[in-house]
Amino acid sequence: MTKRKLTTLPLVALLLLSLTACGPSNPATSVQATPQQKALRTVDDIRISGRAGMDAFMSFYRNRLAQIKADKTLTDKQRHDAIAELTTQAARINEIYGKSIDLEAQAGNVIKNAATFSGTPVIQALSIGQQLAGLFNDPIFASIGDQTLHTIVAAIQASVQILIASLQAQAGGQQ
Amino acid sequence: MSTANSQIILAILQASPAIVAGITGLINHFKAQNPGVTFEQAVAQFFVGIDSDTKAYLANQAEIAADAAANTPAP
Repeated sequence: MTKRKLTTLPLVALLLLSLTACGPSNPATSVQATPQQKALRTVDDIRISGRAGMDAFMSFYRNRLAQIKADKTLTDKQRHDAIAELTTQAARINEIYGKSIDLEAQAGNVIKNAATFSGTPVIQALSIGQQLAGLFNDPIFASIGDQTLHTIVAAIQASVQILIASLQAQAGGQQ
Repeated sequence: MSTANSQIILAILQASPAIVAGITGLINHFKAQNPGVTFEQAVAQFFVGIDSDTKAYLANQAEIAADAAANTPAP
């Protein structure tokens, strides 16, 4: 892990904590926010971070593809193999992003449709949150040497962990 | 669907098999998310109504598929 990442990640985590776990800066609004509202806000943060991460990755992908095509030191076979590997990785990351869109929508719907934020809906949302955490822990992200993407994936992971902790606390309170 | 839109769609479909594959993948993705919709409804929804995140996912898929298809093996 680079020095830059070590200094950036805690800042991102702190920012997310202030946005999600602690609620808005207005103390009156923060006190009034229900667990349901906090969880929905966290799902929204995951969605926004996910899109930012995918946009950052596509920018990295286009630059890397252009570099490979322009690299005069590569043989035709090396160039073909490098492009094949890059497009395969990119397709897999995009599929992970597509899956995350579905899961974020499911988590949001479960939480929104819960008449009360307790019991079975919380368990369902928790299961979806844990699937999301699995997606963004995929080792493929570690294989991409793009700092922006790593930082944004870390932000998504932090949001997912906040969502899971919130839902676990809520589920625990019902038992 | 207007004639202009139909012409745009036809032009896209004729442009590249990879783009067609990408669009088909996106439409199938939308259909999987929305059981019961017809192919025509899914196509119409694809062009006008799906959320921006899903559109980005589909556009990425089509772009990557086109790049992969253009990566012909060395002779």
